Amino acid sequence: MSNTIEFKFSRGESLRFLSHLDQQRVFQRALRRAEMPVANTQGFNPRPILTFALAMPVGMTSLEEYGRVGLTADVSPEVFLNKMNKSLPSGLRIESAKKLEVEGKVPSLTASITDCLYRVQGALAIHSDETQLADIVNNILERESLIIPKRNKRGKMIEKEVRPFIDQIEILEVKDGRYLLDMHLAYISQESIKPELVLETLNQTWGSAIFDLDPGLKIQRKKMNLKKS
Amino acid sequence: MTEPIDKKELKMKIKEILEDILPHVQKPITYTGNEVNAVHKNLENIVIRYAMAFPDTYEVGMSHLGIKILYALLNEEEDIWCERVFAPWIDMEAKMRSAQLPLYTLESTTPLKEMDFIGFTLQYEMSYTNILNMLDLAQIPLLCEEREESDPIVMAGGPCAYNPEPLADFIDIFVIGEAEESLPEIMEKYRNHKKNGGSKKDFFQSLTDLEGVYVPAFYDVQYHSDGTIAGWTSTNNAPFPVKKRFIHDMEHVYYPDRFVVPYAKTIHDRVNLEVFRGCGRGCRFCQAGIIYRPTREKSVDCVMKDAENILKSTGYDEVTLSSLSTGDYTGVEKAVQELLKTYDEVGINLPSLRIDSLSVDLLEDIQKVRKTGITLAPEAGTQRLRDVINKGVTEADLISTVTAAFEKGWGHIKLYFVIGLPTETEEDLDGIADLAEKVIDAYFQTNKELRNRRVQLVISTACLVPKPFTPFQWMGQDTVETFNDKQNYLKKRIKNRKITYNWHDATLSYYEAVFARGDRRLGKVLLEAHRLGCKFDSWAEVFDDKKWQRALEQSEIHPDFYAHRERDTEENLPWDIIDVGVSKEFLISEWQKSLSGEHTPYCKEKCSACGIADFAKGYKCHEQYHRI
Ligand code: SF4
Repeated sequence: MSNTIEFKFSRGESLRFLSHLDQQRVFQRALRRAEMPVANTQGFNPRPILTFALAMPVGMTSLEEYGRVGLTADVSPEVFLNKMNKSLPSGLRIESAKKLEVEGKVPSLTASITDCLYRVQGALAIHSDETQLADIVNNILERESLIIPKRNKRGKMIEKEVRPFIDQIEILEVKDGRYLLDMHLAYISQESIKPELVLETLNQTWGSAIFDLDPGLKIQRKKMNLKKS
Repeated sequence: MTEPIDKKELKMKIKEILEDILPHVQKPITYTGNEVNAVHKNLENIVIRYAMAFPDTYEVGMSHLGIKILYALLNEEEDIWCERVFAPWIDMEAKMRSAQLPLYTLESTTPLKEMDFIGFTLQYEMSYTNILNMLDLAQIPLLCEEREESDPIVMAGGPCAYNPEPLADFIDIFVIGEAEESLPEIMEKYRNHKKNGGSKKDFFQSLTDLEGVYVPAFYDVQYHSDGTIAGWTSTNNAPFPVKKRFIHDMEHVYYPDRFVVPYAKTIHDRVNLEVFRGCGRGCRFCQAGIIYRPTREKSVDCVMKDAENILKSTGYDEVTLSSLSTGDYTGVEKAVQELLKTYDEVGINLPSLRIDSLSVDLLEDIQKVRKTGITLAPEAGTQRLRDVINKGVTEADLISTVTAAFEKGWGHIKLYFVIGLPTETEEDLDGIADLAEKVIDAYFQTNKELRNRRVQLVISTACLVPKPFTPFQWMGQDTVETFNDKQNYLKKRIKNRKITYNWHDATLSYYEAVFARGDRRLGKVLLEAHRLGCKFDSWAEVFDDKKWQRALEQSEIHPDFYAHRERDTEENLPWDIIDVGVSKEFLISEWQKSLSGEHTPYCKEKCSACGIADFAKGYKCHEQYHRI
């Protein structure tokens, strides 16, 4: 991994509807247009060595995402940043880049995430103001356990304990039936939950809907914190 | 031209509405534009605004080479801004209608109504209702005669424009033939028109001295009492017939150095390298083989230059050498070798190969690692019937080709056939089933060491749709019942578990046949079908036969007249209004030769004087080959 570049990037409104797969292709093509000497995996079906800390769901914007790309030649982080920003479509931007100067095995980006901060905007299903809403939410968060039925990866319904993942929820604004809130979610052994699931949990625990969970919900990942290596 | 305030406001409003509705639809990314290489221009310098429209989804339309070429070509001109628009899928349409959001261009989110031109690509007949639906969504009157001076001019071109008549009520201008030269000429006329003023009709009038332009409003059709065409009168000095345009020199014709790179996965998501136009094989059911005559090749150098430009500007890692029959390209081996040498990480696709071992060798070169499958088209099950359609391949050719493929490790073969060909009997259907068995036998006779561990054969039959400008343009199509019987017969005959049998929906082929050889009177059927909600008719999950039947009944049109009737070669055909360069005498002689199974040679081997040489004075077909 001698020539690996780790980069931080953001995704704006204009590309919020990219799927994770679409976005991977966008990066692969941008790397080729920027004539980056991308290293490939070995084997029958070589693929570029390009990894991302987290997948980005359709609809989400982000101020902080991380990716790594393996190169076959030395490219300075400045050159990488400039060339890539010329080559990426507007809506995706490399914010910073650095060389990964670690000997031996490096923990993956995904394994390095400690927590994420999300900003969520949407419609309320109840009449409320900031204080009332904060009270309701804090009340629920006082519980030590919050369990919600959820489909697991194999499609089976399971009971999921979500409380440990929720660090904090801050109600920022309630206006005209819409809310704005920040949500800190923790990563515990490379696992976390989606902001939508948190809202759903709150709704279910409350007994009736607090938050409107329609797809019009706007979510932005504001921060992704990584373990310092 | 600066944008007035109310238009700016409208645009903001559209953006707001989009914000609300896009999270609720499938594939929202296909409605937002902003792709790499999409063209954005400053309105201040723009004289002509053009919307390149494809009457199907984004994923289908963005796979189409023709609109990529014309989009880039128009945008080369500083004062023209060409944008794109596709048919929104059902869910998006519903949202747009309930929000009263007009159909807009992808690049600038401008309502189509504000364009000078909307140009539709006609790839298949069953997309016609989508054209009407798109105009409707754009809040533009469907009928030419109901449009105002301020409405956009509606154009159309592409393979289905060679019989423009079913769309004559809706399209102001048809571009007949290849548009690389005629479209800029039309634009130049429009520039002058805008400068000098005048009505739309004045502009249409100014087009009558251009070749390859058909303005249906300038023609009247008279009918006999039996419904056939008695004759035409052209008014306003409009030419009769309208001669198609074709590019004489492919080597120097405009080819883009960049393509828009879609975010969503499209059907052909790669660099399209056009290697030649036309095809000289002369299969008698094939319309493309006639309307795109003559064959014109590009040199390998030219193809390599295109490859370099487009790979660089798009970042794609896959190319396709595209043409009607890429195996026939004189430079195919050289092009493949050079591509492999120059770009070691770029994948190569070769569509439409011939049935010969050369094709297998080529595929071997490009699919060293993963062998994805081979598709071959014998088209008919017996030698006799292959002679009828002038498909110059034998059973021995096919077996030796598949054997070569099995020896090189391929296990997945697809064979394409057409049913409903003239003179077809049960024996010919048996021939399809027998040929399939022989292919499986060939697999088992292949050395176990070499062959793939699994074999899978897919047999696919299409229903013949007799097309204008083919030797079969006079024949009646099989009825839907006959097609179904033939398909059922084949289902019974093909029992081997290693063979999968696929067939096309005969009802769809029937409607295709109606519109392929239809005339102007079908306009009211389209209008009615659209009113009843027909759209995306080429999508099985949307196509609604009942609505179509209602539309036909209500417009008192008897579709069998168009699909099933055998015509006399003396009859005036709706598309006689167009001259494609291949003479009617040639088509008649091909029709007669077909019935006696007589062969017509491949153009490269021997010219059969199809008429092209008289049509384009001084044009010499044979000079277009051997450019390597
Ligand atoms: S003129 Fe001759 S060579 Fe040219 S397209 Fe016609 S038949 Fe083929």
